[in-house]
Amino acid sequence: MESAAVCEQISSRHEGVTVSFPWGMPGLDQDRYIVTVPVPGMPFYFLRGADRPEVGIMLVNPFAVFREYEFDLSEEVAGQLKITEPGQVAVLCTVNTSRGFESATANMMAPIVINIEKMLARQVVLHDSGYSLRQPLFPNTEAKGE
Amino acid sequence: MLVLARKKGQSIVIGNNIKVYLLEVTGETARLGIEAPPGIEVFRSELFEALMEENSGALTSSEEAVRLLKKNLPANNDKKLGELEKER
Repeated sequence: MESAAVCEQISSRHEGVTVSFPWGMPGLDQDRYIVTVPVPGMPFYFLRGADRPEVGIMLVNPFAVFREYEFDLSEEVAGQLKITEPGQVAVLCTVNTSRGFESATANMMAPIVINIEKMLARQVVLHDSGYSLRQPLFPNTEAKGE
Repeated sequence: MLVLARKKGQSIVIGNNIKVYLLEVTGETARLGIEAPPGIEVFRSELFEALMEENSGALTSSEEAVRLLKKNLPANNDKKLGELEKER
């Protein structure tokens, strides 16, 4: 899945891009989020509520950290997100840093798929894919708090 | 909670367009078949709850995210990511 170019599109917009999540995100209460690039030049992004900007979730471009990550987007989801060509698709995974950055994990089982042209997104659960909800980002780094 | 007894092959209807079939019962395990319209996602409860927990547990402030990223990047993390790539 070609995602790097689309991620660059997000990076090029300083103010971030506003994305609709018509199906919401389980456990979260909003359906519109802004994706920004907190520190330019890195594969990390930040998703914050459009109406409640004080909190959000760090995101990572999974292909930048797990080169072999892959999944098939179901026709159903592609239809829901009005995806007609691969160039419209960006994939980002939520990052959990609650146990410190060294122990950060990425949710590879439920990536966020974004149609960057239509600004439509959905958190897609890859049932039975074998990918983890908490995949360590830095498996070789000894946890040292942060 | 509504409780219904169903035999193998029987089903129940939820709302206008969700149908749940009891396909098979083996010991303590029942196999269910679910027909639902597109857009209605069906989860095993424990997975849905884990996903909710993971999403809400990942919440942080943007200041904290920037602080963590600046503290750990770029030099440190480039190295880590590089090591990660080598491993795979």
